[in-house]
Amino acid sequence: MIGQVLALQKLRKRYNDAVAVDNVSLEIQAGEFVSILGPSGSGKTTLLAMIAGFERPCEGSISIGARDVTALAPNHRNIGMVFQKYALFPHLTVGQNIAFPLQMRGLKRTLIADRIKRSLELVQLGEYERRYPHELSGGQQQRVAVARATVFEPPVLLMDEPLGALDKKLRETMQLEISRLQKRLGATVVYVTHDQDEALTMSDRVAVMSKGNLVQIGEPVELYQRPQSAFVADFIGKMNFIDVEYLADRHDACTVRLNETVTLSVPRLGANERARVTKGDLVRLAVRPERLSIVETEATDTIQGIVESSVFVGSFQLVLVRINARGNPVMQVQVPISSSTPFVRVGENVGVAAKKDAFHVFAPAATQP
Amino acid sequence: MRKLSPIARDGVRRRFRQAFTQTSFRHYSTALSLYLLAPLFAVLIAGFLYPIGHLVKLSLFSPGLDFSAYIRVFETPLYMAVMARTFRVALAVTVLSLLLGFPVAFAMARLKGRLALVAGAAVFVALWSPVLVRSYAWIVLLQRNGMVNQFLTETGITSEPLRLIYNESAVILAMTHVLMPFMILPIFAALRSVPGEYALAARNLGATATRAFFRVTLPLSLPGVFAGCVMCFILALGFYITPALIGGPGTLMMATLIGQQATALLDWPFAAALSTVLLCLTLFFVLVFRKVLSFNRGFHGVG
Repeated sequence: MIGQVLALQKLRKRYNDAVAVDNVSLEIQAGEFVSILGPSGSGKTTLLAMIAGFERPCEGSISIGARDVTALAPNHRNIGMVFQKYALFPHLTVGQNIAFPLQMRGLKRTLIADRIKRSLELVQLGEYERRYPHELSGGQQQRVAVARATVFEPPVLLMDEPLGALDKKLRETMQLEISRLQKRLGATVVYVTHDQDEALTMSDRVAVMSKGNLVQIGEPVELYQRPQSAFVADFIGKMNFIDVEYLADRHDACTVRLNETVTLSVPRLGANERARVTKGDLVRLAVRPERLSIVETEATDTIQGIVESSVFVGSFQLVLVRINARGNPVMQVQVPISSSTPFVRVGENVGVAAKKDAFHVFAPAATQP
Repeated sequence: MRKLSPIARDGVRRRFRQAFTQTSFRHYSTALSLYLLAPLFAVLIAGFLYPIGHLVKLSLFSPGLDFSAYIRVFETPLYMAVMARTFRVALAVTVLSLLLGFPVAFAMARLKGRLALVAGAAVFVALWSPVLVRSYAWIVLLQRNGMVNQFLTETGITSEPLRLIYNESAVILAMTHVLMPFMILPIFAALRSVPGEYALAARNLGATATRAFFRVTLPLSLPGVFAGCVMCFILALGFYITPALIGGPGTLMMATLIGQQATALLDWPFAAALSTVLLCLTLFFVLVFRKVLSFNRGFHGVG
């Protein structure tokens, strides 16, 4: 199977007054694995339905390879799709389910039998051909759904939260299995999910959607380390937010004030956000729990607070510190278990610090993209 | 009566109480289940099983064992013809109801909002309005000076009124009208329980809308289709009012014949024999349909 480029151009879908997808453009390379990540209601399922051909976009175009498929019926698009609840036909056996797309394409009977066998072996379900879907476990049904969606070697494969119905352990196994299968088949994959871990571990690139808009697209590392908006910062991974007062901007950093005594030097705002804020405005300071550490209270440039609770999580200790800043927010600090730092006690006064580049600053308006 | 010792009496009381209290919150005990079902059984026995037993007895004993009534049913060509007609009409009504009812059920299952309400109301109003009224409506339409004939003569399509009523076609037409809700509702329920995703999946896998319907949606709605057919066919077999009003002397059906024998000719043993034959045939068809239905149990979750 050879993947093809999938290009979405200025797609827009409106239902009466509500805009489900607004001006989404996205080009996915051949053989690339792209996740569409967003909370429910962000328009990711509608976007997928438009690619599959179940919904006609109000504006914009969709093309696969060199072919414009915007107005094509779903059965002529040659796109594989794994549905959220698999949508395996309950009145057909596993073999008949997988044969379905081949029969629709008019393949010869002997060829179909051969292809079913190969496809089932690929998903490690060789001996299940004669079973009915309801006789299989959730994980097995999921594999049959993948086999059915890939047996006709579509250049583009869509997956709509395919692991949502499985338990955590099985989900992790299936993530690896889907990645392995995708590498082997070479298909272009669009994977819709609301699970950020899934998106980060499986994808070449992740596109984050919010309220019908594509807010950021990039490699997982880039998204995690350089979120362009407070929404992305909050949605991907854990993030602490503090409202601070904006003081001044220099060529390599800006200063913000937490309270009367503490000011911090942090990375600058993005260029267009910089124009919106002036001295004295409130901005949002964001920092990930694992970039923070507990330090002596007296050290300069630290945020002071009181330990509210401390939880053992396994690989680290999660310390919640109520800090001395506007609104007295609670910050999460991940302390490695093996570290030599002394165990903190509840009620203790501590300092919280991080390297300058661990901080992100967002203008408040950017929280509502 | 033997007097029980206090301890033994206590034991009986406890056992009695145990039998009627729930030991598990997922299942009722057998005694409690039987107690809950008792009113239904009482009504069924008094109002159904006893009269039927009496009927069968009436047809067989007069007063000694006597098969003459049955011999008369099977030896008289007229009665066999009536029976054949009854089955023919019931079959025609079932097929017609299926062909006309399936699209209605399909539309009802797919419609949303106000239109769905209108479609549902149309079916339910038809179901709730009395059979007598609906049958008379057909007389108004089809009689010699009825609306249809007036239209035909005034537009000059025919020179004189056609004989549209008091024949088998009219009976089939009116009965289909009366029984169609019994076909539509089970099919509607079955179609409603088939997730729309299946049809989408079929389209995605390369099926045209027509093939998606015949390969996926239709097979998944078959349990409803069978249920509708059984109900329609069996109701049609014993239908009384419509054939009696719309049918002429040449379209006599079993129920009407039984009515005539019992009320007009007062030949109770013969009416009982006819009833028993009809009852046995109906039971036979129910069992056959059930057998067919159990072949389709592969559906699971839908059936």
